[in-house]
Amino acid sequence: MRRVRCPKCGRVHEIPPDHPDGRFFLPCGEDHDLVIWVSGGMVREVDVAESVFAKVGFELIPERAPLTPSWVDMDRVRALLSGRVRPSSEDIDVLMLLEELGVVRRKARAVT
Amino acid sequence: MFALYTQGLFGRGTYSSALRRAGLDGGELKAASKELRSYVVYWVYAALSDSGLLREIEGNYRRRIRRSVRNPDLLDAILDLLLDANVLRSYQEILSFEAEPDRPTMSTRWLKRALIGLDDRFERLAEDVRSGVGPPQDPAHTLAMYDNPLTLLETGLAVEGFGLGAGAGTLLLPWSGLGEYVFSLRSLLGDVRVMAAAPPGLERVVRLALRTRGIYEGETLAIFSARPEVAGLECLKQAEGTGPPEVALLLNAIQWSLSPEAAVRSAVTGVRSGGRVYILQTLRSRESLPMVILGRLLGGNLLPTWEELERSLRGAGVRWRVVSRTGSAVALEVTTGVR
Repeated sequence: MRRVRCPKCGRVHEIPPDHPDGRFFLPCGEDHDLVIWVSGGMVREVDVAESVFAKVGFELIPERAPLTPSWVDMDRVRALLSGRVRPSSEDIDVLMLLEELGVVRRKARAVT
Repeated sequence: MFALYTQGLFGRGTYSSALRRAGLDGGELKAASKELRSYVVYWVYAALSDSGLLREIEGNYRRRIRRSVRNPDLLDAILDLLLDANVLRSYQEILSFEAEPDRPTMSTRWLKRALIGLDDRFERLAEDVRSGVGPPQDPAHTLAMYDNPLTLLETGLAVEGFGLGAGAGTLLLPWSGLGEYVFSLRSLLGDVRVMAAAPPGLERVVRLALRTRGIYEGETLAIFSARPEVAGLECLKQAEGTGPPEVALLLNAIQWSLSPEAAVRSAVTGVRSGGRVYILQTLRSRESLPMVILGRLLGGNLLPTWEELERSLRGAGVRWRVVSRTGSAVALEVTTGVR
């Protein structure tokens, strides 16, 4: 397990050793995420970015909710959408999948 | 879901073993098949009735209606389905309306899930028959069609029937069922190396569907964007350095391809010299008509008949061997040497 310390708030995050190469983001504080670049199995860069989740937010499209894949925990998704829990990196993947499937949408898009 | 019609493929022993591994039993499959048929019959009837196509069919000859539409094979599938369900009757080749079908009921949980919201898509059926233009793919519905135990049944049949062990080498999947075949292969064979093609525009769905279950791209998994008909060629580009895969596995891929010939030829090109190409394909038959129609509504093509598949294989210029065949499904091994 590799450890990454947030340059903004000092929180320590663990990156699994088998994490694929590339850039990915990791939710950190209330208002910020980390953008991490992994290459050749090493953490090359850690940047702080404004939290996409906090800024945009998602909402459930009720009539599409039954199309949620069977492995997704809908209670967890509802808790995430209502802001009761902070999303982990895995939660963000789940929300992105649900967005691709048209089960959730970004609030900003819903308003326009 | 196409695996509903693979019963008996590879013999009873292999089929029973794949059923067990998928957590299914024969009775459940039989019930699901019956429920799916009554669901499709009901909504096909409703769509034809609402669109006015049923009025055009009544009192008409099949051959005359066939001539007036752009998708006569889909029309045939619909008519045969409704004739089998006694919704239509044919007397001296003239079609007449017999009786409304019963409203379907569902007791199989995974089938109910797979069909959620699909009734709306039946509205496009009449238009598809008339114009030949099928509805666009909705990834959520397509994924729902694969997110059930039948995918594990189908993959298990292929693994056991074709003798694919963990040491089979790298597998090329020209159609990955939006990642569900990859997931099933992982649960059956462990960390087997897979190169999976994702249809352009849906590669993100495939990646996320696997990542959200802890399966990441890396040494044992590569996902690349390609339609089935170019997947082999694209795979060769992706496999530079590691070498081409040893095996290509086309699991009900033909109906998702624009050209079955090209899909087969490309798979053959995509594997290394002396490699193997296996095809497990559900065929268009009276039994599989519900999935013929549903597959089309999901944005695919009609399932091929055995004759159409044979023609495609001949067109691709390959040699093949029938490993197992039933009235509704076939398992083939394509040899990589061209004829």
